[in-house]
Amino acid sequence: MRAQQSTPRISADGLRMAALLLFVALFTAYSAGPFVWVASMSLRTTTEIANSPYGLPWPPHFYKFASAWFDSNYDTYFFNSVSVVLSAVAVLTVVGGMAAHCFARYSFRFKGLLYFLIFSTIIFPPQVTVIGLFQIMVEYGLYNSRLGLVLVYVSIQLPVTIYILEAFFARIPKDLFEAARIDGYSEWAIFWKISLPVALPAISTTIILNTILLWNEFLYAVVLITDDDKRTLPLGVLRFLGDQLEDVGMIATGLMIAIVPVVLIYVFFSERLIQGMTAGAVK
Amino acid sequence: MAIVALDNVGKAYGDGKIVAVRDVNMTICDGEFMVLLGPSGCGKSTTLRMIAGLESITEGELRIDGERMNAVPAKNRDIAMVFQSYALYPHMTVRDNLGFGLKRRQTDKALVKRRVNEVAASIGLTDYLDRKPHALSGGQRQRVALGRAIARDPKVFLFDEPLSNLDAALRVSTRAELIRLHRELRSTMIYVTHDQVEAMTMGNRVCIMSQGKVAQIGKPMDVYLNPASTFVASFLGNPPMNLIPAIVGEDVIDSGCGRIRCKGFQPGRKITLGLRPEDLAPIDSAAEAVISGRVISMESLGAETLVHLDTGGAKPIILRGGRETPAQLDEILHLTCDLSMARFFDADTGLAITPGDKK
Amino acid sequence: MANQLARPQKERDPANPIGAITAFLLPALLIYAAFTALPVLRTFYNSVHLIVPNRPSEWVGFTHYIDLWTDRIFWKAVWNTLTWAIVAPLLEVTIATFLALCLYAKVPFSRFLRIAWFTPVLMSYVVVGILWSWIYNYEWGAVNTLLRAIGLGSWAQSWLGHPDTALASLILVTTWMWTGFNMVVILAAMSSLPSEVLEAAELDNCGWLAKLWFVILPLIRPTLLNLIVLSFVGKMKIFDLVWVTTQGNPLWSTETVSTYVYKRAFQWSTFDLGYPSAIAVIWFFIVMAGVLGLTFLFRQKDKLEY
Repeated sequence: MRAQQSTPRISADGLRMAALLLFVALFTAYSAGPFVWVASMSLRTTTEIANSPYGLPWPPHFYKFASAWFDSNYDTYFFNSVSVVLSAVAVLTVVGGMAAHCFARYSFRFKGLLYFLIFSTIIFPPQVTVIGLFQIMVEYGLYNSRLGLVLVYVSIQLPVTIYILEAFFARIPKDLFEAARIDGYSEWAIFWKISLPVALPAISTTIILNTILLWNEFLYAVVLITDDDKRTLPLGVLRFLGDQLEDVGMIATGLMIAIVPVVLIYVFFSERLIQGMTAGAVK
Repeated sequence: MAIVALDNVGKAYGDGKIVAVRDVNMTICDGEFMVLLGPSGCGKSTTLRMIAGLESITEGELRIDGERMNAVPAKNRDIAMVFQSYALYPHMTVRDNLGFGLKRRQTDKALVKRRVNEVAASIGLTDYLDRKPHALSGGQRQRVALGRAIARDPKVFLFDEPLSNLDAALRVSTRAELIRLHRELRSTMIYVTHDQVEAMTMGNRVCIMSQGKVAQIGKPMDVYLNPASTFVASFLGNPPMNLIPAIVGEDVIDSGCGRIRCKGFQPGRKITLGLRPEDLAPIDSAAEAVISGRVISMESLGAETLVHLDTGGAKPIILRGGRETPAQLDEILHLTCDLSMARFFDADTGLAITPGDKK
Repeated sequence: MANQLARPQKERDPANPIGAITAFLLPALLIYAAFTALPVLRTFYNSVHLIVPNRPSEWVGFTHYIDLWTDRIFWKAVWNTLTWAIVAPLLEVTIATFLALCLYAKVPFSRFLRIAWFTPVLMSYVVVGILWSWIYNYEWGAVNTLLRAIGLGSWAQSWLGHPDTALASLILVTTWMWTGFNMVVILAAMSSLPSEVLEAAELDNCGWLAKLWFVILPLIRPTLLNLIVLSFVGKMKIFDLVWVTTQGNPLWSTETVSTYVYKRAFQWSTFDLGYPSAIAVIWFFIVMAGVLGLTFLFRQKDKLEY
């Protein structure tokens, strides 16, 4: 009796599973296909691509990476990006950490107002800052300067950094800080010796998140940077596109150079990165 | 080694609208173990935190060794505190936890190291010095918290319910260890708890607090025997003192279900009669009974039996009897009591009636 | 003793030392003031002035706003951006919910798939833009190659080059980027549902669909709504992708408010910063109104407790 009943159920389940798998497979192709394609093109010459756009990268032409790197300004763009992003992330971590520590630990006048002001900027459209920012940067003498870009990057990522860290700091038991206070440590020492080390998981999450987002940032860079030798990678990629115009194979190599660092970070810190990216969305 | 004095100390929040603690007066002598006891929300923790310097004192004055401390920051008061949650630094090893407070005051690394080793040995954690708190058991964490305070060798030790996160067996042994510690260190210690057993066993004196005010201060046994109010009477003792509304007659006090001979009260006065469960004993004669009632339940606890009597009042009367059950369910029991152990409280104020105040 | 007399009656609160609070907040506040607050105020100021290089700015009142009213390109850009901001969240969240359900139903390799699907969101819009402009290429792009392969070659066209398809094609690119992100969030919300509730539903003889519709979806509703708002805000800002692929072409069919502001401010030789500032201000209020509206629309009267 039972066997008779369960046989059709299994096949219905099987059918459902097959449908699920098909859907999942189609989406995976849609999601991963473009990467596979650009990765394979980055190892092929334009002539090979023109003959068969979807062929396999065999034999692989690894030299293309070297020529993309050395023959255009790619090394400059890359190091500009590295220096701008790393400085901005370092400043963000300390300044954001301090502010988050302050919001999480103390109560003071206007706390609610400051909180609201800073976090409302998360939803501000960038259009409303970018023009004023352009004028102000020109007046400060920070236009077309990497330092200026660093400061702007700090300011655009500051709210979300404070948001993530504040949530974590607030979960550290208050007793810990009071114990340190009684142990004779100043507020400043408590921040460095207790808050930051205990919050290391959240700190690393924000570091990775900010690194990725700023690595990809385009709008402020295109508005604030004009000199070729100060361009960051996203601007460089676009410039490269203009230079190489029809050389699809070479551009694909250029794209891969921009993608690889991100993918490397992702390979090592995927969970942490997912955590950081989705921190604002999970409620 | 220090004397801690509180003069009319009070704490109000929000421009005086919410008063957490008011008019606390007490002087804790050098080397004394003072227990602050009370139900949650009575202000005992707030009082401790004001002594520690973690909360501001909005009224009155706090002195340690005669020096006004109100405005002195916590780090300069030379006190150590053991928290209920232990507050161990999770990112530091036991060694660093023990030495963290010392390093701030003592720059000589060799001295710090020696002191840490000494303390670790005295609390039996030498083998665990390189572990982090998450790799320790609850009892070991508690000992680290204790060791951290000892290592500092402070003027005053503050304890905020340090045993409440331990299981029952560990609590008993740690209690004994704390008593030993106090005997060895001879330091001034202030200990907050809601557990009356801890208060009775550990304190040189007990300060019972209720609704932000001090209800009574005294030696544990004095407070137990002579509670200053019905609150203290009902808070201390398990089961608590039986409180029976009664009216004074001619040379007699009528509890509604019995009477007790007693002179000196003004006839007609409403009082509350307080009788400890262990002071009650069954007798045969209904005429002699202080209280009579029907047995509604019996709890055999092994060493003793608690008998609950329904006397028609709001709460049952509890009698603490010996191991052998002294009664049957639904039986009417007559109880007597040694007059010297009976306590009297004013029915309106709840305060104890002293011999001079009987009118 | 004199010291004691001089001290005010109300002592400082030791838990909240004002000096330390100031020191901790100051750097963040300075950066916020200089690079966020001031530029926003400056943009507001610009919007009622004529700002031309090498000339003092000139007060023009609400002229810019009045001009805006009749600016057909502006309205086209508003229309495009709103379409994007309304269609994309629905697409992303719907597909993401189905994907999350697949992984929740323990499809094989689900751990790997979760990480793989998330990847596109990590790419810069510049890279994504170039990559997809190839995919939409008429001659050798993947879309047309696929269509020809399955015999629908007549449908092949220059997807980004045609006014009717350009915007839809770009919307699909953002869907490609963001669906995995949404999936991860939804999956996290589903995984944190208390298993007791789902087991209770099973005991109540709920089928798979009924369980989804009556139990799972209502419980993750706050997450879904939150994602919709987040996606909405993101699409209202969209600039990079359009700039890299179409620059608003063809025939303004992919012009967004961001690209239009950029063009008017930094590209067209009008060189007046006042007019684009007025656009930015208007847009600022539209985005705020949109977010407030959505939050109001989605507000949950009573918090779910489980």
